[in-house]
Amino acid sequence: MIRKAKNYAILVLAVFLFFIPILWPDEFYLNVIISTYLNIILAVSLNLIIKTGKLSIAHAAFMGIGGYTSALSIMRLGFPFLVTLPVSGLMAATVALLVGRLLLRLKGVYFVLVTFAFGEVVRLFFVNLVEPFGGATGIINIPPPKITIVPGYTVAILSKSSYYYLVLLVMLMTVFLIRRLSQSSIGKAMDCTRETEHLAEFTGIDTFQCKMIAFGVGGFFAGLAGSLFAHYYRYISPESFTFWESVNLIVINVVGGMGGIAGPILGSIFLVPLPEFLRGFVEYQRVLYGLILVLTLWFMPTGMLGVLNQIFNWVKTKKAGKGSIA
Amino acid sequence: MTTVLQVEGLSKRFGGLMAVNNATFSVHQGEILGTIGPNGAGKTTLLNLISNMYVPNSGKVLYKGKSIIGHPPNEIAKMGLVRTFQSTVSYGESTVWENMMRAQLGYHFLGLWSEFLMTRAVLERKKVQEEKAETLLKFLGLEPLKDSEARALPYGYQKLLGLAIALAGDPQLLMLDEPAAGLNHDERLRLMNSIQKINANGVTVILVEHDMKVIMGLCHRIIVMNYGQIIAMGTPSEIQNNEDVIKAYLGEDHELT
Amino acid sequence: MGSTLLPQVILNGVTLGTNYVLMALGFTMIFGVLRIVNFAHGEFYMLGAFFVLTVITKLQIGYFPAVVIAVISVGLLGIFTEEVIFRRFRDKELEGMIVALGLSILIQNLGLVTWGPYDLSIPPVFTGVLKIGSMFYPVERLMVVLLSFLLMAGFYLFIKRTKLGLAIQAIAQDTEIARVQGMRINRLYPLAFAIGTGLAAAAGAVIGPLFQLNPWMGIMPQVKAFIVVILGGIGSIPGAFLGGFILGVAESFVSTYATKAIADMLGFIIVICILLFRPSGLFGHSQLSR
Repeated sequence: MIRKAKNYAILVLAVFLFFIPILWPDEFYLNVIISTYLNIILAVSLNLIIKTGKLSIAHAAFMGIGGYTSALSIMRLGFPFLVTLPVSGLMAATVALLVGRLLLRLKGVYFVLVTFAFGEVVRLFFVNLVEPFGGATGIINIPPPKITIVPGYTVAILSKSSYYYLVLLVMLMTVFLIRRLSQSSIGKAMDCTRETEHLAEFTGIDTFQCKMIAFGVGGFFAGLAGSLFAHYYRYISPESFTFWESVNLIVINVVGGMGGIAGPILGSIFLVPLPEFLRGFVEYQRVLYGLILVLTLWFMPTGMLGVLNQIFNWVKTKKAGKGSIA
Repeated sequence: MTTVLQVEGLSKRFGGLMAVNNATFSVHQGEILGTIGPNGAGKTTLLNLISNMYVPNSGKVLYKGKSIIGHPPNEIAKMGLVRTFQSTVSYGESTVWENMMRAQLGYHFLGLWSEFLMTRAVLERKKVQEEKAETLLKFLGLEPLKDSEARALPYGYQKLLGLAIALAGDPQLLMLDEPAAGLNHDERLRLMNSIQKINANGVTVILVEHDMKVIMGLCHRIIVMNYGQIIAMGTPSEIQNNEDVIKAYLGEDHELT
Repeated sequence: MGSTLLPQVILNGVTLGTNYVLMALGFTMIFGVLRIVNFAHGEFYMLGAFFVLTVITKLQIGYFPAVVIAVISVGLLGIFTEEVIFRRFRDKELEGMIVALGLSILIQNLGLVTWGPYDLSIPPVFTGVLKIGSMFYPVERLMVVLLSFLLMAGFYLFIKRTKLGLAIQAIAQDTEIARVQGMRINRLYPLAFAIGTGLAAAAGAVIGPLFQLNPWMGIMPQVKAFIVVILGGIGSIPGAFLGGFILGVAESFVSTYATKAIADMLGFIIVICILLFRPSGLFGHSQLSR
């Protein structure tokens, strides 16, 4: 019963999101929301990797791989956007799977450290190669996406509103697919892998395969986000996906809660617009940011989602309490 | 009498210490084999070697005639060799029921696409798994506890849950790592009962234990280890009268619990 | 040109190396003893430099006393940090690491708020250039190297000769055994952390006059410390020494004959290879057990 109500609520919310550019056509707000959606795609895909117990601070690197792939595919190879978008994802996923085979063997903090090193290697790789990646300056004048709906009729995504719909669609698809994966046996096996790895292994679960799937799928969606990013800002450089961007995604997951897909969504909604609305206090923004991270780990380690769950359970037991004979 | 497990010349060195030294023995189908020895004798290391948590320095381990050294644990489990752990018995934060469903996850994987799309085969499998969970819980007397959180259970029941989880894959050889540790009298009896029932159903059991009552009460044969070596092998009465065994236990101030 | 360049490159490398060694010693101690990946280590380096500047300008004291005050202050801050913040995460490695990240962001930006985003400098202490054969060596740099060696020697004596130092080493080798033997973790952990951060602050204070100061100056040294520690072996003091100099000299070479960016990339590739194939580094103990 509750599950059906939940699904309906989500559906209504999704439909509502389609009306936002009509209700609030303000460019500033649309920009913030688009930025939030991009972060949701990244944070949710990272959450999948964290679900197997692996904390990756290389996620932004995969976004970068997707972004560069998309920019170059359109500008140099002339591919249409509808092709480069999935190709960007596939490229990032391929790198993830190749690299994951080695990296995922490491445990705990060692995995984190090696992803840090890997992320830097990727960034420096793009910095060093002026041809074709533009080196430290990156690639500028990336064209907006041109989508061919029917042969002969091509739409260029130029306005913020139209870009909004593009990102919204990809974001909804990402959330839906990852949610589906999480709820399947594969997702449950991932939970087992994270919680008690050797118990999982000795009950027949291929924990390494779980980690690879998470890493590859996570990388795929990071690549998609990278492509959208590149064509939105019309510019990509190694500065767009540094260690700090990856850390930011971890913070979103920690603050939002890693217990479910709603966590990174909540985290993104809370953290991404925050700097925009603290424009007057630029310096204190990041102090607040660091403080939020420390305080979250201190007081609510399960994040916003965890707190909401606790409230929900508390309400449930109160109701049950009322109904029973004391 | 078929041999389910054959161990030959198995050795493991940690730094300068020979944790297991040239272990050789067979395990016969349908028996309960106990492994005892003073602390540090190498019993758990032996178990870890057989279940591939450590790579042996030398020797062979043959399960149903095939070498299993180097095979990942999930493969071995699917082949029918399952072990339990002393410390992490179950998925603590999940309910008993969820634990039973999770325990079966690894065994009937239908392929990435089917799982993701949740095809009809997946849904039917769920029904089969639910029935199995029920059966196993009833078998071990855990059915009334099925909605309790695993870590909230009394310790004795947690151990039984660990057994139930191990049985989820229909193992043919079950290796138990000190299942009776920390149990009180009643819990111990219940555990022994359960192990006997499992064995009566045709499952071969290797039991690593400190608790003599459990070992003597359950095992058909016993292996005694000391300082990494097997110093005796035989029936419970043979072992109890074995001089080397008595020396090993009494000579070094160890407790014969 | 070749004959004068090579010794100069090596000299530069050794100079660089002393700085790396100081950072790495502190970092490896904190990781080895407390199992905390101190992502805020670079920030203590930054604080060391800035404290020196503040003490010199506000208290009108000379450079050397300022360094002493700065290092002790940061050490005290380290004790506070361990006891108040990291203690909660003692057995939670991953969470502790994320807290360190948060702390890093916090300190960097508090630094930004306090001292502003523009480069500041500590008034130069030594001037002049030494001519050794055909090589030119600024006296400033020589002093940095000498001071650094002094600090390293002091640290080494502490670790190997004092009771406290030996106790800390014991914990780094095996925490379980140390606990069982009743070593006072609650006293030793904050001390180890303080020494670690003190070393970082010393590195910053000592090299401060040579470079510009800004709130982000700790980021690169932190990264270098991390690379050196992985290279030399986590928790290994000889490893930190050797690794620091190896990295310094290697980078000096690659920067001179190739580009700096390639040198940076090389460092990380080395890290990845070590973590994958020889995780204990040159000297460390294999702590990657399950």
